[in-house]
Amino acid sequence: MSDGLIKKYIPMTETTYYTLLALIQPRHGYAIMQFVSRLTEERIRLGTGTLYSMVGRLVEDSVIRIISDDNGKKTYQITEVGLNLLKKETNRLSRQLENGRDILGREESADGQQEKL
Amino acid sequence: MDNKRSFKKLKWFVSYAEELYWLEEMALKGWKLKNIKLGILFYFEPCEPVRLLYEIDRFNLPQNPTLKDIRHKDIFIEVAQDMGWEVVAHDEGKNYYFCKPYLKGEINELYNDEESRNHRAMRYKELFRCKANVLLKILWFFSIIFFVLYLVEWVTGEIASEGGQIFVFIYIISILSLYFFMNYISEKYYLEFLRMKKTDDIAQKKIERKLIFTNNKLNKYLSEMARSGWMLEHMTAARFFFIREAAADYQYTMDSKYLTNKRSQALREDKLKTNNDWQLKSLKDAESKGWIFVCALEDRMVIYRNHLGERPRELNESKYNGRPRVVSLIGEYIIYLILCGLAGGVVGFGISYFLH
Repeated sequence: MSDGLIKKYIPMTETTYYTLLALIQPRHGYAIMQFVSRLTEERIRLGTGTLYSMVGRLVEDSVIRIISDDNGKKTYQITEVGLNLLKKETNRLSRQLENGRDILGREESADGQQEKL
Repeated sequence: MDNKRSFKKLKWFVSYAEELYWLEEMALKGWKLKNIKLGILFYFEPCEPVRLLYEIDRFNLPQNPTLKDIRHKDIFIEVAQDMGWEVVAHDEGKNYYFCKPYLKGEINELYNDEESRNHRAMRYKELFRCKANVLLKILWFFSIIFFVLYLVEWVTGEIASEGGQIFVFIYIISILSLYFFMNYISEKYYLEFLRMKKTDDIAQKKIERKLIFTNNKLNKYLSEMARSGWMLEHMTAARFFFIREAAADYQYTMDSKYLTNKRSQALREDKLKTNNDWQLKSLKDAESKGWIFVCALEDRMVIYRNHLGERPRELNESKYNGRPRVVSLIGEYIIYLILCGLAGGVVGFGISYFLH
């Protein structure tokens, strides 16, 4: 994987992350939007323009590819490169989360002790 | 749908927001866009009167598109159709017009996040900025040719016909105006696309053009507008932008660097130490006297209004209320005008002096 790609996609925007998650399985445009809405309980709703500019960019960078194209209905799926990026980003996020929980947890327990005293 | 037939209408817009708004109004009246030619000729066909949403996008930058750019249009259009947008027209400006029935609670805009909305706005800004730059290059090219021709005439002593000179003059002025126009609309479209956001109600905004020079008149005008339900949102030197809100009784006042300094002097404070940042001090004074910020005009003027139902204390002495505030309104531009006038005068005088 090229350094340029890593620089471009890590850290990843939330919408890109969820789009890549959606494309672990082959999906077309509308299905991506539905999957992301359902997964995030309507918190993230991909607008049309947002979705197509992202899909276009991801195809261009070979992070995803078009696997079938019948009657003008394209189906997309993540590539090897995309999968690697997704794993890398997940790793990064989990470390970030760990740090956050660590420090916030310590603060909370310290607060609790002060209250006890 | 009886007696309704397709028709075409010639209309010229210098604003995509207004154009889309007009198309949406036509749909409410039962006319759906069928095609657009040359960007000004709109073809309509009859439809059920419904609220349709129109959106516009372009997928190429003005620079030469790459193979990928052209291929990816396919993806863009297909995803848009997949999401329920119909491509109604595709005009020569390479704009795609999308259309979709309005559904409450659905995503009713093409771009629904800040980042991608900004991308589209930038695409339009770049487009017209590039066009403006090409015009500027053409202008330089012709100016140099005309200048050389003029020199040749001058040396050989043959005087060009008056008609030719006027032609050159008008030609250069026209290209120059076109250049400024393109620059103007590139900025205008950028802001329009940034602010383009479909609300559940049709947005109610209003722009009025007016030149107001005194605080008294400003207060009178703005409070009358507020009483009829139009609240000032922002302003430029000669235009006021209002949004619709519940009618209310408001008082308005303006403040400027000059007035802020006058207040400090009256209190025998030193003249502002940070001479340029009068706005902070103005805000502090105004808030302590019961005013709230409405908007600012560049760094020259701030407009305040009172808290609803409260009576604020006068921000500035009443003797200033009737005085014209030309400088706060026009600001440094008056200096540019004077300087340009001086330069023109000196050059003109110099040339006529040497010629005679």
